[in-house]
Amino acid sequence: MTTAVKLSELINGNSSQIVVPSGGINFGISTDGSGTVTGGVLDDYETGTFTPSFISDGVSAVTYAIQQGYYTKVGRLVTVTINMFTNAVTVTNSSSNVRISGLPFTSADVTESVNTAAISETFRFNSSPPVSGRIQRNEAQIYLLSVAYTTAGDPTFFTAGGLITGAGNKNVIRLTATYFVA
Amino acid sequence: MSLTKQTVTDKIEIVGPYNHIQVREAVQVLEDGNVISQSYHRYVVSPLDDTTDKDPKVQAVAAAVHTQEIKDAYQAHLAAQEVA
Repeated sequence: MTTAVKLSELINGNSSQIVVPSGGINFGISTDGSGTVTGGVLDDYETGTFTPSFISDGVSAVTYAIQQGYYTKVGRLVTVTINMFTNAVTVTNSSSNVRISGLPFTSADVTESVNTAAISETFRFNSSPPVSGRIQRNEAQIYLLSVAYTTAGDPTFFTAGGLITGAGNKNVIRLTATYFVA
Repeated sequence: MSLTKQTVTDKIEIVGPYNHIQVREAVQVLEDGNVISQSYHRYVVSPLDDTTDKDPKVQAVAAAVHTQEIKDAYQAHLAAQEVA
């Protein structure tokens, strides 16, 4: 059992910050019946950067004008933002699906879990740009979809043929995604 | 006073059924050898990823946990994901 400490004992006098022990903050919401808290513990907070990339079996090389990802992780929930502009793309198979790799954490192993990436902006694509994305279980990548979900049919994956191959700030995509981590 | 910058792999975690390797790099600014600023950069190594350009520590972990059995299982998992 973790020993509770007083809040005043956690204050770092030099920085005016509260330093939380590695066990985290226990809100004491639920237990497993033996005194161990199973929910209600906030045990992590972290921010940083990552490097997102387009990947596909049908793309042999990509260079970028902008390739930036930021993350904030609170407990087991991470939110990422991505901003990418390509400079040149070499497509070898236009029908291969395109994904975004490089996420900072692996998604949780939860049955039927699908986390949605909200694409806020896409432009300078060849045709049918990605309109949504999904992060499925046990993955560190985003599957891109080029047709929005409708009641009339299933979505289709965004393929390499939709990428502009030329140079100069093409295939611009900006998105935010939130998902539970492993 | 001497300012330097370095990137060190400061955390390696193996997560999930396919042994994804989560790597955290600390990007540090040092003054006379003491860390005065630090930020994090992360990446994940999946079982089918090429680790040639990664930290030797990460390469060693990948060689140990990304067995052919894990790679085959992850390949099958990926194939199942690409269904609308």
